[in-house]
Amino acid sequence: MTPALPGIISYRVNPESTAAAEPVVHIRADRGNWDFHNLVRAPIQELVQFKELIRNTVVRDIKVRYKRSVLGIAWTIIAPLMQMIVMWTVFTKAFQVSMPNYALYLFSGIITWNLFSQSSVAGGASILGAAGLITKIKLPRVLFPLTAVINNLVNFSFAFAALLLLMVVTRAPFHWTMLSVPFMLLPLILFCMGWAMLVSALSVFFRDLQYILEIALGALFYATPIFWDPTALPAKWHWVASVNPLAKYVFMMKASIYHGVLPNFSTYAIATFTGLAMFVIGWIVFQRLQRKFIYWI
Amino acid sequence: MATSSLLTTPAVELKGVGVRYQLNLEKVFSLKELLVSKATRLGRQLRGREQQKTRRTADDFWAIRDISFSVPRGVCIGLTGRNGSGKSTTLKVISGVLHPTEGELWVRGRVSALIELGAGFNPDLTGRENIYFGASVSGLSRAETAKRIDRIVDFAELRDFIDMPVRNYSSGMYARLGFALATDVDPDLLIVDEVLSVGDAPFQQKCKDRMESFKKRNKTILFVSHDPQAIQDFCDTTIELKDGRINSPNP
Repeated sequence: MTPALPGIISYRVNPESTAAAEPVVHIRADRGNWDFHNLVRAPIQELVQFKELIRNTVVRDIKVRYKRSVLGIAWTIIAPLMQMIVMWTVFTKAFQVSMPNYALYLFSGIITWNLFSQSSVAGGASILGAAGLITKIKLPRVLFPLTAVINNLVNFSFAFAALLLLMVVTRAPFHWTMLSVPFMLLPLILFCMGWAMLVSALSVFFRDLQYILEIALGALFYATPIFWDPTALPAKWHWVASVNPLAKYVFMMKASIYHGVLPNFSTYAIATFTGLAMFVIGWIVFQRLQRKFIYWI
Repeated sequence: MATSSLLTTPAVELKGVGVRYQLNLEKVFSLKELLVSKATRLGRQLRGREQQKTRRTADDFWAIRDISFSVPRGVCIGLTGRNGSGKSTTLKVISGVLHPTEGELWVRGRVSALIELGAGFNPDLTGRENIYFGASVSGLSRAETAKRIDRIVDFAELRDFIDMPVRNYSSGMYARLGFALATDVDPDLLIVDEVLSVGDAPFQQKCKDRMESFKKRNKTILFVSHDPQAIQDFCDTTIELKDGRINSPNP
């Protein structure tokens, strides 16, 4: 071993000697990656410690996005409304869809879909986007995909206000089942967070993933009942709605907002389980890979 | 505050710390290659984890290895060595950014790293907004930051510019804000990587004064610089790194 330094520096190591109430960080290379501490307890403790940063990241992202734009935060409402108006024009005029309150039907689907698609795009790019911070400062890296989802949840709530307005303007009936929207949202949020963690971690190693994701999202949009009605689906296509988890989330949302019914228990249970499973998978993959980020960013 | 153990336990202890870089990282993985290598590794792991040392040795490079030292509280220690000798890697391990490949370490107390000033600043936000953001990066709450903000702004000498987006700052202003922020979070351990050359001469003097006052308050400083004069002025002792290992420590 290295010789002891005279005087001030000592090479003797006495790890058990600390008794003070101060933060002590112990980092050990050979610690098993799969244990409860590394996988669950330590990251959660860190997230709690950095809760102010989580809040600030959400606020900052909203501020920065609309800095120097004339309409500012109003874009979170205008963009999905425009999306809806275009689709509404195409499907009612060109394709002669004659569903009652089709605008509401479209809009409730669009804002739910956007929560997922924008979470996965922004969340997926969040680690690469935070490279400057991650390579310089110790912080819980998982906060970046998580705040990206929270951010889109904020956007969703603005868009939801627009939805209420749309219902008033188009004289669509209000159903009491709308009160269940937060519960319909919960499994979707878990799903989005898990997905964002998964994509953000993997795209550090495979940059192609972001391009693949874009294409996949484009395809998934059509496999999700946003402009079409799942009950009018030919039997040979039923598997699409049962394989695609997004179909369930969008369907549940539309059931409570548009149809005025609550999804049955098994649908909700499956949706919750899917969301929870995606969260757990995303969390584990992220925590397993996050130490290697710095070599690849 | 001072129980005797608090004064005697070192602020930083490293024990056999090593960081291995894999030099084949630039190579583009194909998906097939990845799956094959993962599958073989999984097979090895199922049969016992001892195989780890045998893989990819040709492409491995140890940025640091067998680094063991401890820094008592209140001491300013200088890390010296040529480019690529492992100084910054060592600091990154201590600041918690880089997880070591082998060895273990203890860091006691709140750490603030002056590795790159203003690393978390967002150019579109104002100086004030960036202070709040940057302070929360160090784990400070909003209330704690509110108490400090005037002092930070005064120290950075940016009173007139604090509500301007930092995009419009000069590089000196940017670095001053970064230094003022990072040293005002009242760390127990300050990690400084070649940043003292920011700003003009009077500001540099203020930085030096602040570092001195850290030392007086029994705070620990880890200092990396290529400037032998700065090392001599500040540091109580130095550790010299060479090719990722501790060379001969200067007495």
